[in-house]
Amino acid sequence: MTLVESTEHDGVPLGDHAAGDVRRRFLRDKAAVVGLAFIALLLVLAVFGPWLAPEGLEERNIGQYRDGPSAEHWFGTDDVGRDVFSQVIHGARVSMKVGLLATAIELLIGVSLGAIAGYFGGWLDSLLMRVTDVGLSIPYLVLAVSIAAIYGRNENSVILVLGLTGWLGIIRIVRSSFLALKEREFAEAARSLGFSHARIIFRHLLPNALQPVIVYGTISIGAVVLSEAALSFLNVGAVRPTASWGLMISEAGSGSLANAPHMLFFPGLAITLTVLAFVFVGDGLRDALDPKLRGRE
Amino acid sequence: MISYTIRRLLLILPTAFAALSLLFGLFFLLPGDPATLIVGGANRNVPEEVIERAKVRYGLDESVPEQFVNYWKRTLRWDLGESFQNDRSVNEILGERAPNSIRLSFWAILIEIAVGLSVGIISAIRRYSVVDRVTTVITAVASAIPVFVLGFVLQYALAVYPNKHDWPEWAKLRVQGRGPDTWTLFFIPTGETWRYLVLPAITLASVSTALAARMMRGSMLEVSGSDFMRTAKAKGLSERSIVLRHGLRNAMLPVITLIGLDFATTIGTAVLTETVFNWNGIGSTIARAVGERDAPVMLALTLVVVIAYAVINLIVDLSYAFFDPRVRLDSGGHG
Amino acid sequence: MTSDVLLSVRGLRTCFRLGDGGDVTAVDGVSFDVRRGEVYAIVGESGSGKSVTAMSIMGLLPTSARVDGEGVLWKGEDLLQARADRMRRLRGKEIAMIFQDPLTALNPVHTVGRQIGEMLRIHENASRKHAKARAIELLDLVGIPNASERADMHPHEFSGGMRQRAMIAMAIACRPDLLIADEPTTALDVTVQAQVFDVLMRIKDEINSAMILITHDLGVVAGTADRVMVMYAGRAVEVGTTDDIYYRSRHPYTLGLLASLPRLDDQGNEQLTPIRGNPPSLVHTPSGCAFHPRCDFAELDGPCVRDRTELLTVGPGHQSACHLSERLEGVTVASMRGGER
Repeated sequence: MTLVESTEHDGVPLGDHAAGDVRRRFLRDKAAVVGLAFIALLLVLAVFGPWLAPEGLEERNIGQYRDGPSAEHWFGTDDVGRDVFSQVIHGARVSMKVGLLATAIELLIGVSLGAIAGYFGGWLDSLLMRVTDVGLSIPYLVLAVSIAAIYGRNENSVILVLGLTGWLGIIRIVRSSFLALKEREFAEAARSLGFSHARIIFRHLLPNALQPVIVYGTISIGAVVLSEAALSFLNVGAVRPTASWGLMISEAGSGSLANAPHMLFFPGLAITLTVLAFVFVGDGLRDALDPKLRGRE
Repeated sequence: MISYTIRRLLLILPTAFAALSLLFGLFFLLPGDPATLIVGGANRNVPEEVIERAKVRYGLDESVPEQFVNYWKRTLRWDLGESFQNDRSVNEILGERAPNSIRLSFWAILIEIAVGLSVGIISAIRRYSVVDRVTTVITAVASAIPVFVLGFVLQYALAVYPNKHDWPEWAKLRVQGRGPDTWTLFFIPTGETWRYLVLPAITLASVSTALAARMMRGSMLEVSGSDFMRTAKAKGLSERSIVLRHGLRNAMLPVITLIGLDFATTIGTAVLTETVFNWNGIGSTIARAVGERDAPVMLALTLVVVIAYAVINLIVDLSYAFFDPRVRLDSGGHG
Repeated sequence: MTSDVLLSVRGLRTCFRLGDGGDVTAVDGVSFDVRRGEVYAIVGESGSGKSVTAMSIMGLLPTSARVDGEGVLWKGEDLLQARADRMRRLRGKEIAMIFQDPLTALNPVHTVGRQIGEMLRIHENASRKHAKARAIELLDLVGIPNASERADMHPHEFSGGMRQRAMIAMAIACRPDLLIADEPTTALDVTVQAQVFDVLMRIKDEINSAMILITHDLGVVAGTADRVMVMYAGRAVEVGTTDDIYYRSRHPYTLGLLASLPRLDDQGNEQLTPIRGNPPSLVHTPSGCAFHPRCDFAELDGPCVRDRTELLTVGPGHQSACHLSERLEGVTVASMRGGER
């Protein structure tokens, strides 16, 4: 005998939240599955890139400059003779490293501050919101360019910049979750039992607030990859010999449009597909975790 | 409403102060002595006294706190100083660059509103149809493709290629700079200027339009499940009336906020588009100023952007109250 | 079919397609008639299908729903075969619905006056001015003070009871022949429920319309309904006049419902007598009689588990879908309380 809730108005029973159901719903989303597969590919390339790529990071083919795609160089060569296909593979490592680390930093900061702001409220909350406002009102690129200039042009400073500015986006979401959650019965029950604040925040409230964080974080990885490319394009990101997709596009420049578009196209495609993959997976997670939101996509 | 507005306007001051002070601090943390860089000493050896003179000239010999105070004293008088790089008055630079950014953002936002909203509405009404699926793919790609890549692609497809292959004159677009830069009513391009405006505007609009379309679709779908939509149907309203008169008014609310914020942010951050198309706006000017340690330009333009952002935010919040009668403005305003 | 029968529902069946391919039958073969001017109550708990029945008649269900039946005859016309624009003209003008929660059922961004006036504008082609004037009259009629100012306010500025009155005003704006009130007072504060209900009844009499009253509250039905249909798991289990249902009930579920009501003459320290068990899953309905798992009278080796129930006549105008309905003659509610049988 099953007990299934049903609402009077549409007569359709609501689903439940068991982990198996989440996985099942996720797998039904074709776009999400494809995205996940692509991400898996990226991770493989990121870890095993140096061994998988036909040519090394700094290897050049003398005399073969700006050649179009051929049997030997599937994506062609760039203006100093590097094999673009290999460069794109090497770039996967950069993108994944920056994407994952910067997102980890921004989530760590954003979730902690958001939880504190939402849970404790009062002057702490006001202060944090003011700081967030200030941070948001400064054009993000100014901050990024400035910080990159201080710490020099390398991957780590990019990770730092993106992590330190990225939390501004997540803090409000976490804060609203906590504001709502702390009023609910189980939070009050926990308080009345004398649990410490830390315990309540971490063991009881946080797991419930995580859902939007997971979705945001996933999509954020893609957004970070995009930002890293932008910073590299503006010449404040990593420098050679690091192979950043954005840097490749910057090197290509508008001059390459007419006679060497492959230099632009393949790194650009790589970035686009990466961002798409994370967006699809993020959307798939959102729909899988909360099927009631379905239909509002 | 008035008191709320005044309170918000007053709030801008400490926000601007905090933001600028942060940047001021950052500036002095930047590696490279400004004076040396100014006199071109980055790549060659410059005599000491030249550097010294530069320091005195630009007030860089004073202590940082002193410079800070002096800076704010001057800024409050709206004396924004001269560029470290070429001695031009910052006001002049601002006057030159700001209109470019405003115009570009204006047209980008128009595109966002016209295209984004209608696409969103149509794909919501025709949910799961071919139109919907196609637009879902296009919007996903548009928000994933890096702006600068899109810029280059559009440049090639709509300007370089037609030029090379002799397309009719009216179809050729331009990709560098602003052309004759002639405008009427501040926003309307005249003469050949429009050719230079089209591609940058579309490029700048791309990401926001995609997001606006997605949000509009999502909002419409969410609203369509609301009880009052069912009531409207129970009253005997036509499908069209239900969607437009009842659904749209409600669905628009979050999208309005999005569009307002987009306008606020694109003015200051259109760096990528400006770089690709050589459209000298505030964003690229700031980026260059940071690179050249040109403090007056960087600080002044950023200050303008910060203030503009705060003011536009306020306008957005006020108009939200106009559109949604449930909103009470005196309750803080932080969501 | 006699000439004063307005609505004749025959074998109505409504199914919903579920996301994972299954089917839920929310209404499973329901038939009833509503006569001009009468109050017909449909009683049942959540999930019994009472609201879905109403929505099926009005055609307000989402496209994932399939509505079938022998016919839904409105003044002789089969609404199941009606075209979309015919349904549109019917809604609000001939049949109007009052929803449960006025806060969500009214559009938050339009003024109340405009929403009421809209009825007149679309059905009677009224001008904006005229529609507004009528809206104010209607607000006055339902007992809202300062009607002309109130008409310019938005729903969230009204109290719950006033909002529901406004909804009533909106529903009767075009003097429909049938009002469907879906739990009209359930969402309201207990202190205003009676007031709003009175307004509803008064208005109904004034415009001389029939009413289908959907509720889970048998107490409300007692003083107002002419005839009652009790629903369970999407089917009608008992149909009759109010007296039949209250005093001569012949279905265990109805008896259970009546027994579970607290009474004024209770001592105050007696236990309530609920119906044991839980409402059934609509996806996996019990075999035979849907109520048998919870029924104190059921014979588990007999028709109760095997055979599908049908409405059988147990008295003039009184029907029960219980296989053992004869045994229940004479069973009183009092005997069911306190566990005696």
